[in-house]
Amino acid sequence: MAKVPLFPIGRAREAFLDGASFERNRTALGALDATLAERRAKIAAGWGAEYAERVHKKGKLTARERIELLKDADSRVFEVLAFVNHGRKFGKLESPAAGVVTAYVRVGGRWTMVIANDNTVASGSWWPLSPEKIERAQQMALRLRLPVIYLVDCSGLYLPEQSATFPARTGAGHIFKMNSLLSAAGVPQIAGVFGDCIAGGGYMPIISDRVYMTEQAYMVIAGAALIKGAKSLHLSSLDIGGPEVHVHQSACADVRVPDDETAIAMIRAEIERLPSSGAAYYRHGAQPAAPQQPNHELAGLFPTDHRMTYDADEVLARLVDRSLFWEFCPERGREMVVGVGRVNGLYMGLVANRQGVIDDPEHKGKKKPCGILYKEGIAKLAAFSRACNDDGIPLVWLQDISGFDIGVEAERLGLLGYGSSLIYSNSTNSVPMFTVLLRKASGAGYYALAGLPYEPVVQLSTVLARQSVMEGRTLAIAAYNTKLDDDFEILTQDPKERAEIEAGMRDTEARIEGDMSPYKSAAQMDTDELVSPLELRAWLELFAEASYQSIGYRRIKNPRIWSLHDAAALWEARG
Amino acid sequence: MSAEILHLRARAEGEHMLLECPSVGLFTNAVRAGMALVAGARAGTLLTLGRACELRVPDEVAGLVDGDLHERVQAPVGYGTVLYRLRPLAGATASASKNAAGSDSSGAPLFRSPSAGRFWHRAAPGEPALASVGGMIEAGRAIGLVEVMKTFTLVHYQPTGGLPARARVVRVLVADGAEVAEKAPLLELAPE
Repeated sequence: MAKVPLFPIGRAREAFLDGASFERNRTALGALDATLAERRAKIAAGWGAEYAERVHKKGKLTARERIELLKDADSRVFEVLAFVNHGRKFGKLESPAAGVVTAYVRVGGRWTMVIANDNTVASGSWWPLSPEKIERAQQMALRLRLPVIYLVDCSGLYLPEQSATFPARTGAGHIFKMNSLLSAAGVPQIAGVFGDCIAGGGYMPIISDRVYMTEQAYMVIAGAALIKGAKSLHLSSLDIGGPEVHVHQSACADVRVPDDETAIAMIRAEIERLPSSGAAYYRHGAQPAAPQQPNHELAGLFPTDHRMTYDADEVLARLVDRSLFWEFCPERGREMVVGVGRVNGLYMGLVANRQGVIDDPEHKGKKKPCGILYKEGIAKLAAFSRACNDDGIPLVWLQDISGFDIGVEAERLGLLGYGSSLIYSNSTNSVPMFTVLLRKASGAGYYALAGLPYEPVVQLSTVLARQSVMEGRTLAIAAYNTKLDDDFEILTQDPKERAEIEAGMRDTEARIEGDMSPYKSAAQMDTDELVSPLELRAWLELFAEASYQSIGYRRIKNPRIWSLHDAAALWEARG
Repeated sequence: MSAEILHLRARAEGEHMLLECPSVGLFTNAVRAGMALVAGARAGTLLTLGRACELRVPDEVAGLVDGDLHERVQAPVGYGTVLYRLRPLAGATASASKNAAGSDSSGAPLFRSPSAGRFWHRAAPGEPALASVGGMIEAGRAIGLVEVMKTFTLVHYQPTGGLPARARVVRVLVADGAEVAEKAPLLELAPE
């Protein structure tokens, strides 16, 4: 079948969720979203108004002000990795956003990856995880061949923590390797140098195709502080490696501009010289459209208690254009819903875990809980993943999963084999994949559904997300197993010993629950960004547009010749 | 293809009700002790020479399964073998109706559980019960949760099978946290 058979999905909210439960969910999520907004604002403030004032006094803009000026006026900035190092202390100091802003920014109608040193945090120096964060952002750009814009204002490594940033495989030097790989892959890189650009940092702009320097900028292998005799000669770093040297003598930079504003305008002009986005072409004549079922209702669909169910089909209905969807293989593996919908007019493959209970396909009349992977569901995912990869349909994995089925039957049915086939498919896919942790991301289910170890282009966590191998209570039981009976009750009758075991189990449970916090995950780069479920549609629009922007580097089949049609033809009932 | 349905035979023994097997075979998928069985509910499977028949509770019968009489998987049984011993269901009597909604012997409408599991009165500990005696319910209103294998699903009131669109809760028939069978009565209602 050449035509993509999109059908309306979803119902009015009143038809599946009562008003009181909806309000209850919305209130609970509202509190979590408020915390997210508050923490984002704190990160965006860097080290605070005093440091922003210092930057302004020098006649410069802060990193975030530069980005605001750079972006298209009608677009929003999608910051990634904002929570890296959140809550982490280095002595008495904190490093909001690890001292560097990385964000998808639309410039002249093209999505770019902007990497901007935060000059309100220790003069934009690199902290532990700053290199890894920059490299991850470069990787995101490389995967989609998006232009990279470096807004450089960096005084080098934060040296008291140098052992954590210098020598590792992903140490600061790997940033320059990524610069090289981007260049080798033909990805445009443009650098604006706005201030300090010291030591290794100097290589970052140099590999860029175009380098702009403001009058306050300098690039040096070593600054004046390390040059013998500089003091008596009254040499500043600007004298040693300012625009006078690099634009006019060394040719290490291209253009000299008076100030930040001019540099930003010049960078915008460079991006506008690049080919325009392929997205409009790949819409195949369709117009972008909002979901028919109101997207804002995602505020009240998810119970915050991860054990409570919701209707995953209704979530999809509130994410895809016009709430139109082609469910692939709907009769099999009912624990998973997979299929194709449009996002901003562009085809995307979507995968979600159904919640609640389904009929057990192996035992007539019996039921099975969803949020778990069984044989048919895994096979369906693998077939869908391969077909989307073959057809060039970007994949979005919406996770709310407890893991694989376990036990005698699971082993007898060979779930290890089916799971490995899925993992093989996801590991070798070249189509852009994006992962969203809606709530639970547990055990091998997190892996099988293209969790971060499988290198999706981006992985988002909602404020409801929790990543773990095992729940806190279960781990406490496992850790104190020898002290418990068959019903997991404490064996000893000695009051003192009982109190100790109870306290130990409580501590274990509390620590594990704390470790599952999405903020902790984002702080240590186990997920790329935290979002509200209400922001998901906007992020999916970004993913779709960014995936279809650059042409010629990946296969994008027209929908008449999709492998997905072949797979569906073999699955569908005859007649 | 749907399985053939066999109704169990009911026989009273004091205040208990015995449900007997109507055929010979291997009895499997037995409903566990403590679960409620009501008229029309599924009560396991009988495998006879490789053919599966679904066992159903006959009309006029309701009660809680009293002890596990057989292995849950493939217990050999014969004609008249007692498969279940039911003790009276507190607050609910035998259903006189075959439909899912139905009413009790006094004619009061009953709202039944959409699935088997553990029935919970409130959405979270410490919160008020979703349905309480004297309270009004209408289509779509959440009246409790059913827990199946650690997942909790809201039970929404659906006025199907002759139940009133709006009703007052006369009695909550299942204790908080009690196990229920599919179609077990949860609420006794009065139309408004």
